Order: sequence, then structure tokens, then C-alpha cells
Amino acid sequence: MASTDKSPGPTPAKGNEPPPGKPMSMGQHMIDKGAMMLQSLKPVKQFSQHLCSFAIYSHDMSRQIETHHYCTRLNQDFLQCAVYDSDDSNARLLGVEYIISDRIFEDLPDEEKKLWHSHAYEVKSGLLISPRVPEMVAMPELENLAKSYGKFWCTWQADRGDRLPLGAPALMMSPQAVSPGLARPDLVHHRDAKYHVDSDSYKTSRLEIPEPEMISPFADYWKQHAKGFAIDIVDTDMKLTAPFP
Amino acid sequence: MTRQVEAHHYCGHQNEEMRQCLIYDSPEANARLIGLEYIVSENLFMTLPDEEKRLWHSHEYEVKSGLLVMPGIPGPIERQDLELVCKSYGKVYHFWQVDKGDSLPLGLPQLMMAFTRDGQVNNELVQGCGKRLGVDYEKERKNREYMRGPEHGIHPLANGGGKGLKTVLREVDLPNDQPPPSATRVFV
Repeated sequence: MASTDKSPGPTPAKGNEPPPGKPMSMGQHMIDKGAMMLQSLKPVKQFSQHLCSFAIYSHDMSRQIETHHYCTRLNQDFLQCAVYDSDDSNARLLGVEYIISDRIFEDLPDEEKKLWHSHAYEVKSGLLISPRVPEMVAMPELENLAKSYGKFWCTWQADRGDRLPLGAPALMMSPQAVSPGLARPDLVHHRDAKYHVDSDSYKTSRLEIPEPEMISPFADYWKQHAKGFAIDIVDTDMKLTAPFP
Repeated sequence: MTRQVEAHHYCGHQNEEMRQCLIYDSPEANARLIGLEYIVSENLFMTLPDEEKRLWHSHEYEVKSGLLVMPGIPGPIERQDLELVCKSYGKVYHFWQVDKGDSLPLGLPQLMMAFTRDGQVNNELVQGCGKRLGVDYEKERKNREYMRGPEHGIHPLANGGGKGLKTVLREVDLPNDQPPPSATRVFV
């Protein structure tokens, strides 16, 4: 049926333009403004960081994307992030990434570890930045992140030209020091130009950041196994308590 | 259908016909981000390939039964928005199965469906929610009686086409044009 690595069937919703649909009506704007005033939007007000980096599709590592993570820290060992394709108000919600400390990661079963990726390289190579935050201010969080692992499901493959979120979710991996995990220079330059930074220069300031003593062979699964992951959505019997639909 | 969760959606518009939502397990500051939803108008839904349509669910019952509420919004305004949601279709993935007691988001994304008729929803779940949010579901149902679902009726392929759907993990060989990891090294 639907699969991460299968191109969706023909649809007019293809291309690089924003999603199809009429522009927002005045009525809808007013409802939204009203809601923003009346509702306590507590969970989404907890975003405390914006991180910009790159991610790679685990089933096709030639495809890389620039990512914008908006993160909430639930506790010392856990971050939950909404991931977008830009920092604009019209950014597409591409997916969700969870970030955990190495301490928590070590206790996961091996089968689960396979779905996670390490962050040490991404941080120390300067690929991951905290836009507009001075390095010194960002440093404590970068030190946390360098020792962490992430699990990132992408549910909107916009880079493939999907103007709407089609198909099955994709498991994403992080850039690493070896091919095919090396970040594409053109993507990095484009990002660097936008934020007036030079990722390369961060390598020096981040040299001393500690990494996990040993990165589990199950994380960054492709490195040791040359395999990626795809999700298939298949028919199953639904356990029913009433007729469906 | 035996596994049901309360879901708090925080939505934004891409345009009049498309929304994207973050889904949390509560409306509190320490809420867990458990999934996301995309919502499209009937018009956009009809442009989706047939295979894709099965992954989306209708909202008509959820809205008209009163199950879906916008906490804190006065009824008349709430109903203005719900009239639109009533005709829309949604696609939901959950990544964190908190109802299983998972303290971390383990496993694969789960494709979620919505309630489509009376008798499906777990009453305890509803009563609990109603109490906390101060919702009178019977009253809401009456207030929303006038609303209409999709113009063309609920598409037969939506809601899984009536079948259950599950996600399965598959290992894939990395394409040949990508050298194996050991072939090149870069020193940072």
C-alpha cells in the first residue's frame, strides 16, 4: 500500500510551491486571532530553542534536507521537537524529533536503538546551529546535544515535490563524518548564507565538547550495516468494539 | 479500536484549506508531544491519489457528536470553525503510545483513525474529559445538528476504506551509487 520509498500516485499536489488551497479568509483570521487570545496554548508556548541543522532520509541517503527544530525540554534527559522546513511563519511541519541523553539511550532495547541517530558529529562539525545565539550562550546546550541521540520521523516529504503530506512516514538519520552521511556542501552554504554564519568556523570553538564514550553500533544503523529503513502501511484486522466506519 | 487516546491539537493554517497540528496528551505545560495531524478541505482531499485517501479520516462524526471541542472558545465562534472542520479530512500519526504506559516514544509511528459512529468511543474516556473541560456533550450534539459533512458524502476510501491499517518496518539496501561507509573518511 503506502510506503516511505514509493513515489505517491499522480496528484496535482506536486511541485515546490506552497500547499494548494485558497488563501486564508478574513473570517478564518479572526477566528484564529480570537482563539489565540482566549485559549491557553501552554504546550506550544514551551518551545525554548530553535535549532537549525540537516537530516538525511534513511532509505535514500542521497536526499538531505535543512531542518528547523523547535524544542521543548521536558526534563534533563529529554527534548521533544516540532520540525519545520524553515523558520518562516508559513513553514511546513515536516515531522517530530525526540532527543534523549546517552544515559537513557543506553537502556533501550537494540531493536529500538536502530531507529535512533547520534548527534556528536552534527554538533562538533558546526552543522547544527542555534540561529542568532552567540556560541558562548549556546555552548551548554550544545554540550548536552553532543552526547544525545535523536529519533526523527518525517511525515511530509516536501523535498520530493509533495505539496501535501503524502504517504508513509520516513525515518531520518543525522549527518556523519563518512559518506553517505556527509552533509551536501550546497545545502550547508545556502543555510550559512541565510544566517550569516560559517559552519566550518564552529569546528574550532566546539573541539573540546565531550562526546559519548562509545556510540552504540545500533545507532546510525547504516554505518555498520549499509541499510536504511522504510515504513509500509499495510492492511490489518482492526479490533472492533463497534462497526467501522 | 480498543486503544483510544485523548488528544489535544494545536493547529495553524497553511492556507484556508490546509492546517497542520501538533498533538499533545494534555493541555498542560508538561504535556507530551505525541503526534501530529494534517487537515485538508474536501476539495484538496479529492485531489489525493486513491491509495493516499485511505490514510485520511473524516471529521463529520467527531464534530457532530460533540466529541471535538475547542476549549475556551464561545459556542457561536467555535461552531463557525467547526462547520469547516466537519467537512474536512485529517491524517494523523502518533509517535508515542502513552496509553500503553510507554515513558518514551518507542517503536513505529502509528496511523490513527477517528470515530465515525456512535458506540465506538470509550465512555469512560469521554466522561473524564467532559468533566475536566466542562463540556456537556449532549448539548453540543444538539447545537451542531445543523452542520453538514463533506458535500460529496464521506469518501468510501477514507477511514482506511473501512479496514484497519498498521505500520511495518522494512530494512532497505542503500542504493548502489552510494559507496559503503568505509570507503571514504573525512576528518573533522
